Amino acid sequence: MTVLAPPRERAPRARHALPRRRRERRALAPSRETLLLFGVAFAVYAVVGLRVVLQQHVVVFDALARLAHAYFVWFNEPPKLAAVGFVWPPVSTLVFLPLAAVKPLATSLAAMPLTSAAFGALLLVLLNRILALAAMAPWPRYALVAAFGLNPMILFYATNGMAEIVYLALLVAAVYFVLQWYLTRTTGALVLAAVSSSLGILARYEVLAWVAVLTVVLAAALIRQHVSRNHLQAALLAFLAPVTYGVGLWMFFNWLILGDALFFLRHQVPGAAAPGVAGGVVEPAARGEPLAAGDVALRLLDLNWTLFPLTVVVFAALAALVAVRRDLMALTLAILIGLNAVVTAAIVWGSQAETYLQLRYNMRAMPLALVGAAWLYVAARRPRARQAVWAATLALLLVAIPTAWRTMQSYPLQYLEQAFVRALATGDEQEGTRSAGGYHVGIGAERRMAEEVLRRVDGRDRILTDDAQTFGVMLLTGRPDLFLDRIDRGDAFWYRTLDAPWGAVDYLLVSDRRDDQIRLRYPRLLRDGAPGLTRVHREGSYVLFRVSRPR
Amino acid sequence: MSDRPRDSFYRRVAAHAALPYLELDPPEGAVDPAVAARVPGWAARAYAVAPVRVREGRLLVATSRPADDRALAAIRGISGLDLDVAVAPPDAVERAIAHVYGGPGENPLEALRGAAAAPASDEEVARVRRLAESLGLPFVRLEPAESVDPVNAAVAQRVSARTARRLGLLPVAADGGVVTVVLAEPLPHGERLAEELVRAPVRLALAPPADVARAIARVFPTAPAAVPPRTAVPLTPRERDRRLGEVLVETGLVGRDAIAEALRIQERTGGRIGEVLLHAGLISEEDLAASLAAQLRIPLADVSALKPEPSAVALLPEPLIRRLRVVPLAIHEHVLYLAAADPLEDRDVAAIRGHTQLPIRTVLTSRRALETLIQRLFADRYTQVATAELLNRSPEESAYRTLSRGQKIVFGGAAVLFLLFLVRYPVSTLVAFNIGSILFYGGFSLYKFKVIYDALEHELELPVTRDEIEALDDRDLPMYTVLVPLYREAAVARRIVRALARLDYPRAKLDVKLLVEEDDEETRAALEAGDLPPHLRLVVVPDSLPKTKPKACNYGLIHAEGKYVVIYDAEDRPEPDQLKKAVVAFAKAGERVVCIQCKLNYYNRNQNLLTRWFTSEYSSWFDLLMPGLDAADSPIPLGGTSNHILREKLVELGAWDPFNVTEDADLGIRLHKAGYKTAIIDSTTFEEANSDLYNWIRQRSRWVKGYIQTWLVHMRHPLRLYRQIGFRSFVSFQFVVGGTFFAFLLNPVYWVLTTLWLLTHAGVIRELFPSFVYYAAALGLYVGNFVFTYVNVVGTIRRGYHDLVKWALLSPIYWGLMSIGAWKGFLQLIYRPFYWEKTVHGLDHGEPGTVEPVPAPARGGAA
Repeated sequence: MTVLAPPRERAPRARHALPRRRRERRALAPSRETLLLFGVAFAVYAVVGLRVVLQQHVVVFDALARLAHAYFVWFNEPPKLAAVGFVWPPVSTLVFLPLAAVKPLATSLAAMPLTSAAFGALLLVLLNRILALAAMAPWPRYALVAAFGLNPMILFYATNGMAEIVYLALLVAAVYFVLQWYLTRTTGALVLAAVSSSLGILARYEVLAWVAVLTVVLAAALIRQHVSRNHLQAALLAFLAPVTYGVGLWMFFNWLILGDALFFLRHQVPGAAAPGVAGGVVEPAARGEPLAAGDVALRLLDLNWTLFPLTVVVFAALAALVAVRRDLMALTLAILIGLNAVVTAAIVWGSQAETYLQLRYNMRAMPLALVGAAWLYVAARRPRARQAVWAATLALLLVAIPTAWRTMQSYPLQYLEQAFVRALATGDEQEGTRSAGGYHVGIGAERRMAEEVLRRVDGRDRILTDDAQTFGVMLLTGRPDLFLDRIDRGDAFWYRTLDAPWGAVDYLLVSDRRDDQIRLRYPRLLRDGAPGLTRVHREGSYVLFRVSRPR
Repeated sequence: MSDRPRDSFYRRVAAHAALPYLELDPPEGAVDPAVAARVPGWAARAYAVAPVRVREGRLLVATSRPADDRALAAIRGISGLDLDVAVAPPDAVERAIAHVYGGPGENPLEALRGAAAAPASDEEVARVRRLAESLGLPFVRLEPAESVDPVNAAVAQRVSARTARRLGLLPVAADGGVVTVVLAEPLPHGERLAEELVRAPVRLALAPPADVARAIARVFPTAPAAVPPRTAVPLTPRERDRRLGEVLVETGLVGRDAIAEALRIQERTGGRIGEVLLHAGLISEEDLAASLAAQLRIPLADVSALKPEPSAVALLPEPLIRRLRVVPLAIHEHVLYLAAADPLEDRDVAAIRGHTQLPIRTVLTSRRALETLIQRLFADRYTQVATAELLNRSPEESAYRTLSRGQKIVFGGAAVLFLLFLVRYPVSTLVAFNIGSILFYGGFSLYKFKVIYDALEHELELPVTRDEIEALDDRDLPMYTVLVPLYREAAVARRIVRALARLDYPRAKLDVKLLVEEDDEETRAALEAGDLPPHLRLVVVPDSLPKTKPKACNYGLIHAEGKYVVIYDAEDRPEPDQLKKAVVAFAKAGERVVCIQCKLNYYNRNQNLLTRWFTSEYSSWFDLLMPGLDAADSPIPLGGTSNHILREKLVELGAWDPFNVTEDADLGIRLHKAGYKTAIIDSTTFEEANSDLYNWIRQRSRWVKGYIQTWLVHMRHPLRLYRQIGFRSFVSFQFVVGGTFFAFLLNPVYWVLTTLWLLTHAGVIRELFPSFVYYAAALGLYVGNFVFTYVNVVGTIRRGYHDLVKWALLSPIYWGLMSIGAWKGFLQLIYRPFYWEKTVHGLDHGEPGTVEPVPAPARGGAA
């Protein structure tokens, strides 16, 4: 096994400080430990997720939207990759593709917890590998990984289908492989760091900030090693090529399909709750008072401390290590951890939107804090000091479980975290309840409307609908071909049909949300109706209109 | 040999010679000891003639070599009696001599070793005069008369004092370039020996030994160092080497220092002293042969231009001729005359005796001359073997027929069905074809990526350390054959000679065959222009079809002597320790490993954009894909050169297929089918990257054509192949060999379709891509293409070619060129299946842009 050597920053590290594996056929496959850990973690997350999502109906609509669009990729008529959409980073939807191809897994929503469980398990495996790199014995690192994995925030996002766990896993993978490259200078590690970074950015755009830091670290490490200019250029090109290609390809698709290469940046609203969730976000404009920089900083510090105190402690310890030993990797990890708060603060400050202070936007530092703790373990050198680092880390991880639990229960800026811990604590069905932040819990309305649609309609493209608003209903019918949505033949065709639906479709499915394009075209439709459009059924925020046939 | 057949044989010899057969056993009753007074013991021993008795003024002698006229003449001259000759087995003759003379007799030449001798007695003078007359030689006296010394001291200096004393021989005069050499006693083949010693035509004369001794004492007044007496005990190779060294010193070819140095080298590297001197460039092959001849008193001849008698040649089978390096030249008076490059050992004689019982008389010749003769004699036969061995042995494995009958039926039927469906259900048929293609494409991409990823993360080459190489004892190293096929390579021919000179391997254990086609006089002239070192042999491959590299290699293989065989191209620059690395690797690898493939890369990578791309491609192919295939225990299509193979196994497999234009890839698959394994080692041979686009496309077209040939050959019986190599290897074969040409043929089709779709959004194109197919195609287009571009980037980094990384990012353009080559090769397979698209080398124009080769990083590269 590759093991970290104590950092020696003053002298450039030998290119091949660590022995590489030689012709070990078994090493070509993941180790038994990795497979076992992955299996156990996946099983735990899957069991929790299936119960909470499928039985207790704590369904996060952002995740539902992504699953629905992945489902449309396979089963819409005609099937189109464009169904992935351009509002969200593509990887967060693409990860659903494998399970969405299996209809029952998608329409039962089981694909959501199962996909998250897989990435949650991957995250734990990566953390375990990083701790192993730090030469930590198996059982101590299992204890740390378990304490981390059972943190309720991690548990929630490893079971709910949201993009958080996906990009966290990819970000940690990027850090892990950069660490490995830093120690071994192997091309393979560089390649995997690059690919992980690229996918991480395409799973959550702000990962770009972390990748930028990693790029600087990579360059700094090579410069300290006094490599040639060509060598430096080659390493940077190899690292940045997948990132550039990934982002470039995404821009190309934006340009090709939407005519605007930067559409994905102009139109994505990372902090906004997905349509389908009742508003409840407190926005500064509503309060009428601007957010002060100091206030934002203090709130972030407080949030990190209460949610995951390890972040603050490790950040401080790494900063001290940098001051004492001028340790490049310690500096890197400190920046990566601190970047979480900086990025969030910048977004909040720039947008003056308090919503970015949500719990989930502060998760990025959680696994990075554990990586930082691993580096502190290495830096401690003496066994007793290492034991102390390990014990302190475990204690802080264990402390974080109740503190995170309490924060999830009470923190106002959140996203069904409260419903999740309530479901876990009580074991009760959450359908129809409300969660902190003003969210409705459950998918009852969508399910009932889906049943109504199936009862009434059987034919391709018979219901005109804005899939960006009614994706839940579409998914739960299992028949996206029934709907004439904006993906099928493009927006132009869809809007032409919307202007004159009579004879073209049999029904309109409208939601009462303000961004619904049908509602925008017919502003008084929900209240007064419209000529030739007859309301035939309503479920929650969804209304089904029959379209009269032309005379 | 038992007595009975031996006796029977010599009875036949006697009958052939119309002489009586004499029963000499036991000698006590058969031989009269009194004859010792007539013939001295040394003469009887030297000529292997036993005097038996004197009867009626005639001497009855027994010999096993009745046709040895010179020996009999010598005995006649010495004894002064006419002879009655009888035949007896050689051991009986020996016993008879021992009976008459007891132990080794006194050689009168020994007297010459004294600083001075008494003048010759009248009796001695009379004896020598009679001897001279019987031998037809002039008789001379060397005593000064009237203060005039008949010996020209300057001429006498043509031989050393030691040689003169040892052999009882002295050059005494020179006239018109002819040197008169006086002998104290007749020497077998003395004329030839004398010519070699004085390096001029000679006229022999006989003088009394005392005259010769006194003349030598006058010319060389200093007392010579003591010379060890000759022994009748058979010489060990070491002793023979020492004797050879003496001869070489005595003949003035090399100095004592050189001999001492050669002995030191011999101590280190093993081998024979003559070979050591030869490979050190101190003597020529001709020198060596002449010295051996002189040492062993065997006639010497240049046989390269001789026309042996067919009836003689027919006596020995060709493999024996090749193995022993002997050629029967003629049968004369029931004696078989053989030309040999080395003195025959007992076991060699025994092997020859297995085919003929004729007495043998050997003529020594240089090895080069003998090989030239052998090649000339058996050229047709060798050509036949080189061309048709595999075809005759296993016709199904030969690409002689592009398609087997079964394949014609299957492919023809499939084509007809496809066309019928295409007419009846055009869209569905194309969709079905599209699905099949894309599934195969996807599988190919995933498999290749998996193999490369494994290689990226692990060091899969068979490790060979510097310590292991240094621990090798040169004396234990096996003979190594290097085959260098050359055709129209005059421009780079000398480069390979230089590259081979850099190989760190004992020269005496290198057997390099420079294989030049008969009609390629330019290359031959270029090679012959400079003196080729002795371990480099020019082998002229007779002009015949197919004129392919594998046929030339097969031709060379017939003459190979090495335990291992490796191929290098004309422009190759193998790393100097490559052969030793391969030897270590073979020793470390399991028994299944019969082939070691070294990595290939380019030394002129920076010449232009094409060479940069080519280098990137090779870096990922040889540094990543091949080690990955090795680790996966999959069949490995060998690279064109630098594959080191156990000769025995290569021959067992029928060697290379001369009809396959990528015989290397084909051989790799056949090795795997036979249950053998190829391993990759971290040693690189640097080649010249093709820098000319048209030349490059021709080369690529040949490669693709060869891959198609290879795929077709091994897919003649798919089920049999599946059973032979198993599921994983079968799949690997489909993807690595089949996929490589399939992808290049298919790429342009999909590129055109994608472009048309982007420009027109034509409905018909959409119809060809139902959802799953569309996504798979999109995945291949957007992800697969990038992945393989990136693989080239990674390959160049791993190789340490950091300056090429930016160019590797442009690889997709290079793939376009590859597809052009692929289509050219595919079409050529139909109308010129065996045509070898010759790659022109030497386009680096004196190697501008050539950079120092960078060996693969010892531990798999770093970024």
